Amino acid sequence: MDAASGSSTLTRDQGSFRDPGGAIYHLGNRVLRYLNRQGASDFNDLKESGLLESLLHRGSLVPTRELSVSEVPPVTDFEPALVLEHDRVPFVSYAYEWPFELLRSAALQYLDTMRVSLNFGFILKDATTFNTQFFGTRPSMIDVGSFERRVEGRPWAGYAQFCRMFLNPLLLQSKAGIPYQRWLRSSIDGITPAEVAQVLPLRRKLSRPVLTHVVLQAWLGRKLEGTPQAIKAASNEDFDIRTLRRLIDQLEHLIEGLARPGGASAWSDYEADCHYDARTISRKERFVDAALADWEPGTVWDLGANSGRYSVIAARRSDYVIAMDGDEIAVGAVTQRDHSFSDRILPLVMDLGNPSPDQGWGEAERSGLSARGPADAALALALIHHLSIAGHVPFGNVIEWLARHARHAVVEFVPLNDPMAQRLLAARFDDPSEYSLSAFEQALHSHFTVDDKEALPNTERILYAVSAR
Amino acid sequence: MFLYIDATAGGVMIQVLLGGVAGVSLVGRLIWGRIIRRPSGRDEGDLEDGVSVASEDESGI
Repeated sequence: MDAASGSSTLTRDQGSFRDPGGAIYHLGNRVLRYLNRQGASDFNDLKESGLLESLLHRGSLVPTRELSVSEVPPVTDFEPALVLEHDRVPFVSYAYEWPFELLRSAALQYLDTMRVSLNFGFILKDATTFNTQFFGTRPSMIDVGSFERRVEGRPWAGYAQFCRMFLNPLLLQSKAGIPYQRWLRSSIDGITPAEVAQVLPLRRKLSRPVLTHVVLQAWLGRKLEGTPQAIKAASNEDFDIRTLRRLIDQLEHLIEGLARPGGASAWSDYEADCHYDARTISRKERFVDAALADWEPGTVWDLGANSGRYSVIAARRSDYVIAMDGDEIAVGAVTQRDHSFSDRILPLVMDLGNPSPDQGWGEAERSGLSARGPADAALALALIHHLSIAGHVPFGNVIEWLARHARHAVVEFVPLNDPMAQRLLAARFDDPSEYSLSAFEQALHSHFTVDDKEALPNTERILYAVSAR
Repeated sequence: MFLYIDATAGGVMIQVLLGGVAGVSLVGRLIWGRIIRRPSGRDEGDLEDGVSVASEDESGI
């Protein structure tokens, strides 16, 4: 589900074609779900059972309102019987961008929602992470069409998908120390039990839950895959709801016990190691705060956010902040930061040198980073030298990209003799001769007007508050 | 039959196993049937011990 631009034309969401009950449309910034007769019937069943109200009350489902068909523009591809309006997700994101803490939170919410659904005689028929979105760090399910009446005796069809999309990535990171984001980006249907079993150390496989949900599932799959008659025979067994409840409890207990592995990354201790003294930090914070106060942005992208110090400042001056960093450990630290903006800061793992592309069927189901912009403002603090020195991207290219993705920006110039720049240069054998203050300012002036400029004390770093031309 | 099913055999079988002794027994028979079928090179079909898989519809899932 991707937000449209500010136009008032009704447009079908390009990723909305798999639901047999209807489709998502965008009308300006409104998110509308048009339901056909079957979809409307299923929704009314959900409503009349009391489950809908329970889920909305718990915050498990995105806020949803019924509209009359006559209140909204017509659609031509089917005859709608009912239209729903959902609260717009401030910034659509995907599991391959979530830090460990967010995926874990989404998994636990999914299981809790399953448990509640069973109490009302319903079940979630699928278990894809694409049905969950975040409001800050709070997960919310977005697909009312995922709920269906449980047929007594049937197995949980979404169990294997739950393992692939939620459990296995968490196990991969928690038990094998491998961050799952890059893997999931290439494999949007998730990580199979066989793949996880291959990489888990033997001692990590020996716990009963891992043996069951990973090793045994992989083995049985290998033995019986390609035997549809065997699956049908098994599916004809009577699946007791108590077994299903036990399964959910097991999975929940397993996931609650998963933690990110300890250890630091190259940049996770940046705040402590960055050579700023208290006076410098204070000046920088004031500069950022003043610039954002002047612009009054709706959405701010904190690019290279590290552990989120400036994301919190941005959250005070904006509606919503996306704290992006390529360092997964640092992004995880954002979720642990003590502040009062947990519903307005979304931490995402994003390598700006290789950001999320358009993906899925027709390269249109999941939007790349660019398609989800531009931001009203961006923070590019201690960022550009990373992209230019370590990433070998010339200033001009970085600043041109920034101008396309943000209307305003706070940008920090870091000279080559800065200790942090020297750290990056240690990995290069050549001399980045084009890297200079004059080249930087020239590139900046090509795409922005400079609203304010300040040299930071006790360093040779310079901050710029700029607005795109 | 199912309107929607995850095509992964492992996922269904784990739930069968968690169902108890009967489930363990069924899975054991299914795997045994697969094992003895392979050397003979026969196609998948009715399994032993009257475990009926009825349909020869291999479009299956």
